[in-house]
Amino acid sequence: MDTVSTGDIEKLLRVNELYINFYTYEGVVKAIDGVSFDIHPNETFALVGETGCGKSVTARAILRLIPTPPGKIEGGEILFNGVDLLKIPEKEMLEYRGKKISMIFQEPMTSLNPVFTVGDQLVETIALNQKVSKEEAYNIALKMLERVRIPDAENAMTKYPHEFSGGQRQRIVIAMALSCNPSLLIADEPTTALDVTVQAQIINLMNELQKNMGTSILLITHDLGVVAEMSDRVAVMYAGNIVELGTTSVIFEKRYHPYTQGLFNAIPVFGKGKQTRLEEIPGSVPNLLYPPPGCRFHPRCPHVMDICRKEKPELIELEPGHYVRCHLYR
Amino acid sequence: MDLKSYIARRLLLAIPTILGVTLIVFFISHVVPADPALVWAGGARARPEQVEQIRQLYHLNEPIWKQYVIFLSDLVRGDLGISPVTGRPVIEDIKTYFPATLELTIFAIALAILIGIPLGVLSAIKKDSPVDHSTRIFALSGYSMPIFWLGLILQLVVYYYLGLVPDPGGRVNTQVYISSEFKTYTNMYLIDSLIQGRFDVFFDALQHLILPGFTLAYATAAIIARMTRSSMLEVIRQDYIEFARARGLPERVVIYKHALRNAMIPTVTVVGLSFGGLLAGAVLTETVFYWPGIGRYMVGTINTLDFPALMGGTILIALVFVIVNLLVDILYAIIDPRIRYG
Ligand SMILES: Nc1ncnc2c1ncn2[C@@H]1O[C@H](COP(=O)(O)OP(=O)(O)O)[C@@H](O)[C@H]1O
Ligand SMILES: [Mg+2]
Repeated sequence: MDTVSTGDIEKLLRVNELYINFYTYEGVVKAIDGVSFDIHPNETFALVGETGCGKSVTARAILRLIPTPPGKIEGGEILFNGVDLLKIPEKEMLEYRGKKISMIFQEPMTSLNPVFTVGDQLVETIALNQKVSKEEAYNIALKMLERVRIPDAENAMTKYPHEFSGGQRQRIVIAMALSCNPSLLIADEPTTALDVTVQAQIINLMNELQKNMGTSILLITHDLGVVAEMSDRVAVMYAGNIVELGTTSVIFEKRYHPYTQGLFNAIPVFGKGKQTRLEEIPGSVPNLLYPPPGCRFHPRCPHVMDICRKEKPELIELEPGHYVRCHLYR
Repeated sequence: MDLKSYIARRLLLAIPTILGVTLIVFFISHVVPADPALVWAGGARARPEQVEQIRQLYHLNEPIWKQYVIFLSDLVRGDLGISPVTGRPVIEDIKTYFPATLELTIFAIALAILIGIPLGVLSAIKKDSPVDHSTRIFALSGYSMPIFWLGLILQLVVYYYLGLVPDPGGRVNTQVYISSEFKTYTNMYLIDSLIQGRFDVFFDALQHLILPGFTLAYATAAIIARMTRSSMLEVIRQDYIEFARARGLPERVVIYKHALRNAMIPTVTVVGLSFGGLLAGAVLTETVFYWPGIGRYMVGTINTLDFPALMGGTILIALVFVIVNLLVDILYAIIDPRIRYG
């Protein structure tokens, strides 16, 4: 069995054996290679990994926003409250997008349409998704802006996106995403494009809203600091595979998978002398047009064995709820 | 800056532009080695004293710079002079002929937008499909087809072979026009007929407008379609489009509200720039369809060396250009809030 099971805890989202390819001029990019994970109600689940490992593709797949062509979901299930989102018609998908599942993206500067006011875009989202009148939608919009602490919300409604700073725009985007009380928020690198101080504010805001609204968060990031601040459980992704999955505390403490170890060593450690050197993982992310056979990490792995070049390792449950995909632990 | 003072400032800035245009046209037209007085008096048959009289009347014996000064001092008093050819005040001729051109060009622009934008959107969202390829062919022939040829072919096919429209030529069926008490307020028949509730005249005028309107619109429709397509393709890759989908907006709203508004920004520029070509095309269209507009009128003034009419027409067209440019800039700021009047 190559699936992750978290026993009888209630599941909000279950991604099961997801395979996604991109058919490009150069060939087939095997971007997602059998990814499985669950998200529970009320939890923050982090997906970490280097750029290009398939975090965003996984996230977009949940909302069925993969551009097709070139993308194609080759197999797997995405169960949301038991409904397989990959099987329902596009029209029914509108009942999920923005309502039950929301998504925010990395670039707050470009997530809002520059030619419509913030109020217009908020009201439109609320009116369409909640089937309420424009006036009701307007009032909900005001409340949401106040909730994400946009000063002078009434005035802010009449302004255009370019009149706000990056941090404010990300707050507005969060307000928009949470306006319909979704049970799942997918946040794709929500703080990457922001200043460090603003990052902290946004993280605090998201933590607070999550507590108050009971929304589960799928947090995508390559920043382990953000993971530590926000998430309950973590999945580490490498080249389209989940290589380790478990609670944040166990991952940070044990780091079973050689890639997880490499990833953690690559964080700059402050306070250890002036020149703290970043210990990079040797080698580079594989080209997913020609993924390495066997374990996709083997060309960069310090503990590589013969079997790693031939056979893709299974996910092994090393501790209850803690999974590793590595031949070292067979 | 508010809109009113912006418009006022732009119109003030237009004065030197228009003066410059009159200067150039005045000197170029007056250096032609022909005797206009002789032409106006009726050619070789004219009596010398008659020719001399006309020369006096139109100050043709004065040095050319002085003639220009006289022209300017008349102009600031709002006097465009009297046409020596038609014998009517130039301003009256303009009032007669210009509305016909205005009606034709506005109709053509509306048609070009109505054809061009949906085709552009469709070929962008169905990129590389048969629709896209057909639109490309439609647009390519629009770019390359000479207007007079298109006009003639349309007359041949639509009127002569298929008989779908009335006799091409003119703006309404004269029978309809004369036999009824049809009043002209704006001299644009579509508008005048609607004001009076005269739907017979309206449909007759519309039938007369279709062929010349399409002939004139085709090239512009092609430009709009191609421009809309490429800017749509650019816009639908933007993050805010994906976010709009992620917010749960239906595809119709995503494309026709969020994407199209942004895609219109470059399209508006192109339409504004292609307006000059549209006016040049109007001259040809009017000629092919015997359309009594300002284009044909101006061609006539050149043939008869009708200087007052030529200058009047020149000022009018320069003014139209200034106003169209202003409208494009205002439209720009309406579509894109990041642009401010300045
Ligand atoms: N539209 C696309 N066409 C081709 N390849 C794509 C496309 N989108 C993503 N990919 C490929 O999928 C892989 C995963 O990308 P992505 O999920 O964006 O990575 P990240 O983890 O940085 O978010 C990359 O190798 C990328 O090249
Ligand atoms: Mg990404």
